[in-house]
Amino acid sequence: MTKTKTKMTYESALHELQELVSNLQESTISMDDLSEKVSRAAELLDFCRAKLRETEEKVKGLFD
Amino acid sequence: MSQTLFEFNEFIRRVVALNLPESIWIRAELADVKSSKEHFYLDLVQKKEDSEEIVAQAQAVLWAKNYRSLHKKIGSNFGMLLQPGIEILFLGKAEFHERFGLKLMVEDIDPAHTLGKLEMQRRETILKLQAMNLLQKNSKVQLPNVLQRIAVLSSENAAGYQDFMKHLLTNAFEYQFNITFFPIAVQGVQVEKETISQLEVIAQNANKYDAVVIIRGGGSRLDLAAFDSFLLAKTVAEMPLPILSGIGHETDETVLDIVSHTSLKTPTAVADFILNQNFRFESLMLNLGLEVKNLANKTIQEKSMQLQYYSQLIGNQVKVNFRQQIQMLDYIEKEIPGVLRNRFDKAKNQLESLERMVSLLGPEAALRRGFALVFKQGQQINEIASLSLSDEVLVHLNKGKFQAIINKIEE
Repeated sequence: MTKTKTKMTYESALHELQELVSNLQESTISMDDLSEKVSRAAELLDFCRAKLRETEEKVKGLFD
Repeated sequence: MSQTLFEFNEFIRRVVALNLPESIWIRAELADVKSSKEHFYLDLVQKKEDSEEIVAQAQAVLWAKNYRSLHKKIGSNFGMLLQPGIEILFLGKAEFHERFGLKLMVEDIDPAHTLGKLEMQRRETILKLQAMNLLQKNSKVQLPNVLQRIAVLSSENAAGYQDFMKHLLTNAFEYQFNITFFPIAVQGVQVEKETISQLEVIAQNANKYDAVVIIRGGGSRLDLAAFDSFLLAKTVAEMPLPILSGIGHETDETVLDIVSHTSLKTPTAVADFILNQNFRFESLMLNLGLEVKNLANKTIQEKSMQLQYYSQLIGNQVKVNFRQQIQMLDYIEKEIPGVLRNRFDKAKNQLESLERMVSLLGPEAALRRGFALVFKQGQQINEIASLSLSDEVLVHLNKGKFQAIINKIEE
């Protein structure tokens, strides 16, 4: 959870998300950490979606 | 029998008067001219053709009375007629005076003869210059695009000089000029010498000037004759700077005009020529400026169209990128439940297999296979040494247990 406190970027979030999913696929996450990691994945997904929406809002109309 | 000198001279006077009763037209070159109170004293010579050798010499006088009537008849040309070096045709009457000797009394002068003579000399001079390839020489000197540093040869008092300066310096374009004035005589015998020596000074500092201007106001043909000099024309032709001449009026063209770079009718016309030359350059610069502006505008238009194209391209690409990102996030989101299920299934299987292993390896499995567990006073016995004779033990077997007493021990 400390990562959200430093300035998170879309790219870093996406990268972390992809890593999490591949770790899940390869079962390298311990069961103890699982719920925390899955929550983190949901959080990263939300962040990426929000960032995407915000960016879309900002660039809308700039090139039409 | 002898005579006194006076008697002898008196005799000659009578001989002369008797034999030369009429006035005669005589051609002669003026070697020297002196005047006093409108009386003119002339030294006449005749030189051998193409030589300076004098073959005849005489003195002549033009009395004030005759001078006044001649001046009236001939007009402004008259002053130039009585100049050393000029050939005149005059009506003279020979008079011998006992004390002053033979003198020719000038009664009339034919200016047309002098003019004709000068015109002939002028043509000869032009032919000579042509033969030396000097007629076009100065006109081939490159005229600078901008004429600002100008050497002006004229007489300070000449009306033409004042006109020129006024016209040039009060121009409507507000062009600035750096004028260097070189005084010269603009008529008479000094013209040739003074003009040549000033031109030599200018030629030595040719890099300080853009052009040389030689001007004088209008004058009679005879006034301008000094500018027909061969040596002067040769000097002008060989100048390293373009010579702009404005000598005399509409109809007059001196030899100097012919050999100069550009010959204008009047000093004012010279000023106009200079102003036009500079204006032409300024116009050229203004046109170039406009052309630069137009080209710049055209380029800006092209680039702005290009940017618009890129802008659309970016807009479209951005949309594509958003779609891709959304698809990726959607994919990841859908992936997670499946991955989690797998993860749980794996963990469950692991637990089940562990359970199986536990049940396989547990004590009940051993009991089922016929092994027994031995307890003494509630403690499980793993070594024979823990037992003594007569100990009471509890023995667990599959599906039951029994009590026993130890009656024999083997090790």
